[in-house]
Amino acid sequence: MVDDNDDLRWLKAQRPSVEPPDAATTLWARAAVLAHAEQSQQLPHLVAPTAAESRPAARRGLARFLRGRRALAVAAAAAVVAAAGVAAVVGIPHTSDKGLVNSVPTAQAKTLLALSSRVLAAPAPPGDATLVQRTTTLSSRQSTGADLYLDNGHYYYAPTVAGLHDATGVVDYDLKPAIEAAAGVATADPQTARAAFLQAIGSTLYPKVGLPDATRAQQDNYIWITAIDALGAAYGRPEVLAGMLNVLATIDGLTVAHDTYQGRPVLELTLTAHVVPSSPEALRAEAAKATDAGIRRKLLWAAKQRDSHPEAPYTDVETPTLNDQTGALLVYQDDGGGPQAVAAGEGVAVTITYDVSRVAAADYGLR
Amino acid sequence: MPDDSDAAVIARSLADPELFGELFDRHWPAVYRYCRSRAGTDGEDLAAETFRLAFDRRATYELDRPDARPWLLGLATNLIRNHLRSCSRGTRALERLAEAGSVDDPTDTIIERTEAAQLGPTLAQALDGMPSRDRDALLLFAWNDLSYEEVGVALNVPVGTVASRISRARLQLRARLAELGCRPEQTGS
Repeated sequence: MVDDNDDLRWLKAQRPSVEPPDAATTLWARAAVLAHAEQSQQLPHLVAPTAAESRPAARRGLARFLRGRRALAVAAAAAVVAAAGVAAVVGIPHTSDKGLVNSVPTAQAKTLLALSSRVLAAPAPPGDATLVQRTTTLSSRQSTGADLYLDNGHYYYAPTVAGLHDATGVVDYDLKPAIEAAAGVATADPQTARAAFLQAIGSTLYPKVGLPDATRAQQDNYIWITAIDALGAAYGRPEVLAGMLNVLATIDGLTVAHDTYQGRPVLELTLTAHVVPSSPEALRAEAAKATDAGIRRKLLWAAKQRDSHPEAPYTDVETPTLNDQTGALLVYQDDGGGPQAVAAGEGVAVTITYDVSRVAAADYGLR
Repeated sequence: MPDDSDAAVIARSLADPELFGELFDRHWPAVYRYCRSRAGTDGEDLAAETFRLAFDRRATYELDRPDARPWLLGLATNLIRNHLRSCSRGTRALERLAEAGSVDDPTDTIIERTEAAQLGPTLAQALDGMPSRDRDALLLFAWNDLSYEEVGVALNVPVGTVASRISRARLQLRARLAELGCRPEQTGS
């Protein structure tokens, strides 16, 4: 039957199909806007928006990158790398603490693999969802967030646990491919686990990066940022958490230390990234070679940023702390760029404390 | 004005510019999708440019409008239009039309090649000949579920003007579909 609005329905149906923006593009665009804001306002330093600290976990990875001026450079550089597949600008130093030496786990890696085995052997806590309550402290500001990850892939967010009862808008969490990939490598040897995990996240979360063929430092970086975001969601799902730990055990330069936190034995994982921003000349050279117009523009944009804001190499230290027995994520700390290259007051450290638990989604009226 | 409205965020960002990131987070997907729909892969850059422009113009935002989406889509529309025109300038067809004096601005009623390539042949033919101001109003209305009032905000014209533009555009669209032998109820491309 033809009615008065058939032309509008036809027009709507003709709208070109567009995939949602991927993480790298979003990261690049956000960094571009904030860099512009910084330049326009000549801010002494740039701090992530207050709301960023409490926004859904789906965006936490981005928020972490956008903590400060130094991190902004990483964001732009990482986005360019992600988009163009050029040489890494974010490097993790190769040290004698490599996760694997000729496929043989080092002491650091063995500690993680042992935790992986413990997690896998322990009975799974009851429930069909993982609740992650976060408190983020950034500068003097503090904010909270509650993430509910259902085992069926659905995700809900509210600033507080109480708010979850009113949460609406079922979406699958964006880390779902990483969760599924980790579950598939729970009992694999580390090398096999790494390869399978990279293949999975490379084709789903970071399709523009060419991850399987990227340098080891690039691969390590993507494993790290993905795993850190997924560790909270993985609690209570032994296969997922065990698989994630297997993959983390392959990262070069990762140190693992036994410690205590609030009286409990914990493992402190520490990764120091040496960030070497590309020079404007290098970026322009890459732009000249780029065949994709969009990538060329991004590279030229990044080069222009570097003309006016040259970036010196710097280090960034991230330290997640896990329960030594259950693998539950307890704390995440970032030094905000480290004292080596950061002028007083320029870097912004962040601490996130977690309370993770298994729950029944039905208790929140969610499914 | 609710504390969490877009208007409140924009107001606070005047003193605390980094808060503008919150506006980005809220509206990036919608602006991205709109720009990509109309300008293809170039739309990615145009979407990012929309937020840069929005940041520069945030002081002029009318704070009695809690939802900034129409305003952002309006900025995006202007950027898309300028981009598509710049892509098509210098083409022989346009020059011929200009020389013939058939229209003041030949790009105003021609679906530019870039846009046509993105929209696909059926949609491009259906919209060809429609003045860009009418096309913009129609696509903002049909593709983004904006009300007439919101389209008015986006295009900075009174709501009565929006109504007449959309009405004119729909009449033209129906006639064009009839010429092309497309039945409006056919929703496939």
